[in-house]
Amino acid sequence: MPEIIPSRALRPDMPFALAAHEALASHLAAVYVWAVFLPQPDRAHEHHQMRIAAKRLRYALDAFAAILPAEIAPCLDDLKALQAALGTLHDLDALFVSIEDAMIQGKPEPGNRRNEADRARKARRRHSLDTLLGAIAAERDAQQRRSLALWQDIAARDAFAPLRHALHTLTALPRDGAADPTPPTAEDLSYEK
Amino acid sequence: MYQCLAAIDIGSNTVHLIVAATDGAHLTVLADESIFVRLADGVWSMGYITETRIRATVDAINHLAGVAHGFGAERIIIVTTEVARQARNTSELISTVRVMCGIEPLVLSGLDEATLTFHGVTHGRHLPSSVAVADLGGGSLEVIIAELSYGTWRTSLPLGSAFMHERFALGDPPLPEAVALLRAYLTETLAAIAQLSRVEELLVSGGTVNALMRLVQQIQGRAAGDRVLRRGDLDAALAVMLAQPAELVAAQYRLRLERARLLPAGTIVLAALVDRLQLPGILVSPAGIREGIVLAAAEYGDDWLAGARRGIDHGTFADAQAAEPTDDGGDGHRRHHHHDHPPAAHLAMQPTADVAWHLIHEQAQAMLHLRKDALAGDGEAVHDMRVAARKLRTLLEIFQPCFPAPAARRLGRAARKLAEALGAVRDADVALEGLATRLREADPELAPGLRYLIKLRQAERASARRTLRRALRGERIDQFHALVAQLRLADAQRVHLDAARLSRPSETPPTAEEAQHA
Repeated sequence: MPEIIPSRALRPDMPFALAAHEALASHLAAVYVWAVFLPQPDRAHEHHQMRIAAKRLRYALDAFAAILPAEIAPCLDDLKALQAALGTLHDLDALFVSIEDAMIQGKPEPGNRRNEADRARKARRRHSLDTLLGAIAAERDAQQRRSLALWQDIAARDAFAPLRHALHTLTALPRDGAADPTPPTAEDLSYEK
Repeated sequence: MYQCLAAIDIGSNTVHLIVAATDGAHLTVLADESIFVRLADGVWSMGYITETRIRATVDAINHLAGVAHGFGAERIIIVTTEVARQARNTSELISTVRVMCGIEPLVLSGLDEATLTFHGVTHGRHLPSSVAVADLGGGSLEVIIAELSYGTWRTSLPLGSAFMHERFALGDPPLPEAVALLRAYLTETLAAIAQLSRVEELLVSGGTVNALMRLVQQIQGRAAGDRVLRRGDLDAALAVMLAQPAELVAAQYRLRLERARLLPAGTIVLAALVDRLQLPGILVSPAGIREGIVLAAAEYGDDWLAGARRGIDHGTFADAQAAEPTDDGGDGHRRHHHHDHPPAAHLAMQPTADVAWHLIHEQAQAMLHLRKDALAGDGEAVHDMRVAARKLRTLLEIFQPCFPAPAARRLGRAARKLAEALGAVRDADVALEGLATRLREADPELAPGLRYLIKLRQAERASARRTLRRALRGERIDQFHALVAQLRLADAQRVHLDAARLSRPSETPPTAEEAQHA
């Protein structure tokens, strides 16, 4: 399990713009951290964490909207699309788990006397749930590939560059210590670098 | 010495309370509540306040006084304004309130109203060399013009939003002919406003302008903290209100219906005022007359009204400003407390702690605003409230260093529990919708399994709804309000400590209590 890049200390007396930088930079970094696991189909937990990271980044962007430039609007669209794709993926994961639970709950108890009709009905239901489980697993795989393709497209276009540039601009305000003269690239944020 | 004081303002539309901790120079609002009573209903046409409206007003005052006592208010001052100045049976209102509520309301003159509004609106602000402050109520419009913080001109005009709405029979939606008549009337009437020099800023307070700000934020997609209404925003908002009935505007933009009905008239008055002063727009102030009353009461005690009058007559506004802790503390950041968000252009340089509380408070209010609809089973309201609760959690996480950890953590936990209860219902709703779609389109072989899943999910949803109802009712939601108030108090302590630190020579070490808070 990777460690999430922590936010540098936000101080109550720092200018709001710098607080925006601290908070947004760490939230953006969190998306990149969890994205490392997107190519691995069986990392459902990590995919869900990436969705949460994307959602938190959007909420944080909302909080600081008043001081962010309009140029970041396309980033929000990409973020929404990513969040929606990962949301669908999570819904399928949740459905998969609920089918498994239903199969366990619907299992006839050994030695339990039941009439034939009831037994047959339960068997049909069990077969149906089993088939459904297979279908959902296939859907889930397809959705994981779609989410990955979307993320790869975002990365190839460097779609969050305007956001990184906006964050860099926020640090141009007076602060303790020297500001980094160049904005970070997608690679700087990537966990894989 | 800090006192906890309350002011209740019986307006033409609402009875409005604030409870604040203040020493006369600093002010921290602890509670801000209003109840729509429409006291002026019929006053403009018949000339008297109806018995029903008096009863509603008494009920509202009793409720709000209870809130004030709950916060430990040492004194409650009740004032009433234009509607009491106009009605023939004002004495009946006054005596009923005195007998039923135990406090006698004071009928303020228009000029006193303007003076107290100026105190409240300008408190804690840097003013430009020439500024106009206005308060648009249901019955009247007060305007004060000040130069170099000295009040130079003031007036009270019967141009309130409810009065204009009724007098010009605007209709719902407003009729173009009635709007044209009102505009012509305002142009003529507002010519009375002197222009001794060019005014650089117009600060406006009152329920109308704050509701209009919320509407414009939604129409124009502006940030919740934005407090600037440009002239074009007024036209855009009016276009929306002229195109549809108030009921639709209220539902679409989450305004009180009573407020939405009066908003077109108020918007036209504000647009006329902006045009008269030849300004590009308005700075909206959430503070107003009630804050002015509390500050005056803290500063002058029993003689508060005379003291506030002397303030304007002797030109001591400049002294009042100097008393504010505007020292930058040597680090370039202003430390005095604001009631509101500064305009967006200055927001970036504000100390984070000064902005954090406002963002959190607004988000908490936005969330609680959805409670009724969520409780009534509205699926979209449940979803919106869940998103609002999550946003609140994100804000609390981001700005946690700005508050004492226990207060922020407790509120964060409460928001998490609320989000979980809302989430359980929402997730079940979404899952059931998905399963129903699959059942319609699925192979018959899959139908028994899908029906079984739907049955299980329905049971889960019923249980989740019961949990949610408990979470959104009575005690739990009272606890949530209390946690928000605790965070507010924690923020207030920080502001007061900052001010104390700035006023003390730097070599003096902080007290143990300050160190603990720091």
